[in-house]
Amino acid sequence: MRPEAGGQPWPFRIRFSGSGAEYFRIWIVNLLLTLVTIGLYYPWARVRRLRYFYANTWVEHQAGGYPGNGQPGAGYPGSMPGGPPAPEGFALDFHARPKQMLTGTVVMGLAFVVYSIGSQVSPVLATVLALTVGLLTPLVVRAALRFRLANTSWRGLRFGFAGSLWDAYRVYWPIAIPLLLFAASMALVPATPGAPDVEPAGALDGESGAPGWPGLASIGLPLLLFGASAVSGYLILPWLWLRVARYRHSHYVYGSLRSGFKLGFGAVFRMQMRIALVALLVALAAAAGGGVLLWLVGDALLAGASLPLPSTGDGASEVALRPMLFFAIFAGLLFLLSRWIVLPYITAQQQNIAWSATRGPDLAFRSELAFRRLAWLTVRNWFLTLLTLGFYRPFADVAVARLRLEAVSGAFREDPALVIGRERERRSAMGDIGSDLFDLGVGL
Amino acid sequence: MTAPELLADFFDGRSARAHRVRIRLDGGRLHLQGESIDRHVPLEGIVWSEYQRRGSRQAELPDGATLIPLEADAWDTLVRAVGRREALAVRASRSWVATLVAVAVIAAVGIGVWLWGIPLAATAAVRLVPAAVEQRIGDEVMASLREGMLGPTRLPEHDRERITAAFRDAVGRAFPGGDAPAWQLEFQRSRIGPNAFALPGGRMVMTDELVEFVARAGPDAEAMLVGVLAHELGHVRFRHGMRGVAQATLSSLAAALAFGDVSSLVAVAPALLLQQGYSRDFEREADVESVRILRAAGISPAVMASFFELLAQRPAAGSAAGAETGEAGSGRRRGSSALDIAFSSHPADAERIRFFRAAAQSPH
Repeated sequence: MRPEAGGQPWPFRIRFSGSGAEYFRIWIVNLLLTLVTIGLYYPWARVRRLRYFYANTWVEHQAGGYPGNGQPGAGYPGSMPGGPPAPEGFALDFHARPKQMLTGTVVMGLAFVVYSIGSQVSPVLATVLALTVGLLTPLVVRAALRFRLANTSWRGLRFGFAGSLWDAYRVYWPIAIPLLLFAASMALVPATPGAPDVEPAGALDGESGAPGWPGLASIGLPLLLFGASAVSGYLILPWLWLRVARYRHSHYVYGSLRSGFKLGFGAVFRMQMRIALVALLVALAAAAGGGVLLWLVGDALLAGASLPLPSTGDGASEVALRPMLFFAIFAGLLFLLSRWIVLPYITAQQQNIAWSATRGPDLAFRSELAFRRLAWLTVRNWFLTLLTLGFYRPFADVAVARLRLEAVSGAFREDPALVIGRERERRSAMGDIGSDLFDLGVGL
Repeated sequence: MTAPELLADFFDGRSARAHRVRIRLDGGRLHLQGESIDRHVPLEGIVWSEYQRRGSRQAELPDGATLIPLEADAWDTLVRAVGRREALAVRASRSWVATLVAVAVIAAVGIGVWLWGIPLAATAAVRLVPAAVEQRIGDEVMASLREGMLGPTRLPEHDRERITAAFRDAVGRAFPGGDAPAWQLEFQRSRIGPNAFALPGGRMVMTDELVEFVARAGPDAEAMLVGVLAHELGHVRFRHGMRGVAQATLSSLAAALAFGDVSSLVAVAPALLLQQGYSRDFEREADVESVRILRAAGISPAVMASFFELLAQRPAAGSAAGAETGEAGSGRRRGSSALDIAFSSHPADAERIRFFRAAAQSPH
């Protein structure tokens, strides 16, 4: 480890002591109570879940703060029953009160319902809602980070988030590019009643050629804008990711310590290329696998297909079915392989790069999450969750948390016992719940 | 129970420095004693962390200070001595019995939603769908079927009119109030052989091959076709197409909630499984409607039993039925008989034959 913390580096590591069996019982009771109270218990469930994970996340470091105690860790006799060797450190704690979060839950739940239903009703409403969510995203993300960190403590001292609202908007502005292009394409779609907007162009020359098809010119521009929106959305991804990561990781505060972030666009771009390459290889593997499977078992599948239609026994239907079958196998394989390989790869890469870049004069982190172990764990969790009809999920959550958390280590500038706190602030719980529902992914 | 004394780290909330203190219960207060610390804290103001096996124990004091014990067991004894009653949820998750009960209840709720909740919700949701939307969905499905599987009919016009008229007559008698669901009947040459189906919005399709196939039944042919169409009208009347779509959507949603990360695949699988189970219910419902319409038209439901028997005797692939269509021979291995056998020997067929026979024998 090369901590970049200034002064005399004081290394730390993270250990996670959660157990699947214990969390399972919390999870199932949470689930039941949330069901019984039609969701009103959700804030309590959320706090209990977070507290469980926080209380089992130990930041361990050399213990040097006690007078008359020269031995690192000597002040901590083995004390946790049945647990691993005594931690030489302290666990995190989460302090939010569920009642604080209840209003937020209700408001955000309603907003979420409005968004989900509204975006299905009409393109105009969908556009307006997408723009609204886009406009509110920086606000919600910042509020969520502030709330989460202000309610997280270690060694009796709360964390904080120092990013300003203005900075949040400055960071997120590139989202406006694809969003505005999308809105423009929606605004330009011709509102001809009964326009066959879903029929493929191939239908034009067929017998079902619909009269009143609006010329390609009127549909061409919106299509172009729509395509541009999607492409720009993909292209700005690494850039946006870097901006957001920098905003988040350079504003963490612990007492007088503050995090820093050093990462150039080159590294992020290379990461994005590696991810694209892995995705491409996975797609090729899925295509090859689909071909081999079709060749091996295609005939049997086509013969035994339990189609609800009596067959004429004519070869014609088989000719039509073969490409469909290939596509189905390919899509299925692609789906599985991207869940098992591409997503863990992205997770590992992003965590390692973002946290290893989180270093400054006060604090330095390092993340060494092994992609292979994460992929293997993902596959395992996946099958076990499937086999147990979902009841393995809490075990899976604990296993993933352990792997991801214990990959992180770092160093303080000085003995953390010497850190002095700042004034405590109260934070709105609204953002925290909002980020959960809108899946903005806050927190490690 | 004697409340123990134990060592803890005291954090004042203003710095990260730990102060080693000895704590013990002293009446209604907690006594903290250490180097330069000697405090009595009223118990009411203390927030104790929830019990965890290996997780950290902590207590928040009213002024923002924190206590973290060095000895977990002694701390747990002390917390019990304080007499704090843990919340019901916490006690429940500490008890294996309560946990098992929770598992059982969740499983029961899951099964209940699966069996009854989703069909009920789908039926309710479909009521909210305007007829125009349903019509449009039917039109779109029809357009895509025309591209791949269907072609213009080659049946003589008088045959088509005769069948349509016979069915219209039967429907008229079955719905004397004129409250029959709106329907349109189309004949199509197809690649799927003898078949008939209904689409959302009331569009019903009968394949040329079905009409030609049934012709061998002689005088009963028309009655059989009316029975088949009556079955399809049952699908239209009870909006099975839309309910199927709604149920697939809802079951995907439910699976997403239950499985989380694994959801997307699982969302498809149960939707397919459910579809099978639900569609069997739909078929039964449509069969009941078929019997009702046949009776109203003065036709014995037994013709439907004969129809299914006729289907079951259908010659294997490569012979008459297949050759008749005369399409795309292409030298490919003629479609397997495995599919035919699988279909005709399907237990559902035997069950349906029994159903129509029984309906023919019972007076009403």
